[in-house]
Amino acid sequence: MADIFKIYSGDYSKEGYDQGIEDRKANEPKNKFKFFKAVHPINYIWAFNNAFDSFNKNYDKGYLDGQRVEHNIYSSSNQTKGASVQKDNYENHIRMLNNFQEKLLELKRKIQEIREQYKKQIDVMESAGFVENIIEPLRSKYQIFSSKIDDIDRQLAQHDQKIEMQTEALNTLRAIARSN
Amino acid sequence: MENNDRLQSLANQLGWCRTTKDYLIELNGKLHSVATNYQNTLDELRNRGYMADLLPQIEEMNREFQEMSSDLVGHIEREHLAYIDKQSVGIRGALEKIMGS
Repeated sequence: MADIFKIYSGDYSKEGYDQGIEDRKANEPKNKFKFFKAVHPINYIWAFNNAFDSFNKNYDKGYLDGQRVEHNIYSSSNQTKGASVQKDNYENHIRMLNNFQEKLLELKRKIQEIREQYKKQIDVMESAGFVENIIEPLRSKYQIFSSKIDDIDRQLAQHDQKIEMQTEALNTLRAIARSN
Repeated sequence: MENNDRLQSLANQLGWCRTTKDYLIELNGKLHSVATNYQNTLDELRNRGYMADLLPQIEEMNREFQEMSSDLVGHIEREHLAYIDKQSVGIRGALEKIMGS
């Protein structure tokens, strides 16, 4: 009976909400295409717009509520203190992350410095009159060394991006905590 | 006179080999300290209670970094230090030869 009403009204609020909660719990990114799994074939031709909208709006709500449950952020008034603690906590985490990011930048600088110093050392050897057959192989070894430093540098840049993404996620969570 | 010049040049080269070897050992020490800094920063995040669901990504980053930096340290030992050592042996041999003649 409930199914007939659902098909008639095109109300997929419950399915959307449950799917949102489930996806958040499984730590999956948002995927509203799951609507096409939930919808009854009749609703492709009957009340499609309502079915699609009700699923999507409630999917978002379910997903958001899933995040709130996960991070203990509730909107009821008797939990204001808890939410405030969460908000402070996010700020603290963002600070820790910023600090981590600064240290990575420092490491990046240090690695470049190491490379430059080694190059200078080889140049000094050459100007001190080292025979070519000693310097040349060392220069080609230096090229391999330098490309390994490039790899580390690229890796640190990727790590920096990941930290940016984490900061962004924490900022979103902090905004949710503040709005409650 | 020619022998003296050659002797001086080889002695200089041997000295520079030693300096470069010291430098490479110091460089490996710096790389090791950079890797330790990364690990310490991660430990600091962990000890200060950084979010449990975000921490694994940073732990993975640390593993990647440790792997790359230890590869570089190994490369310096196998390729650069070994090469300088080999050159030092060659130069010392040439020196001994001149001094013995």
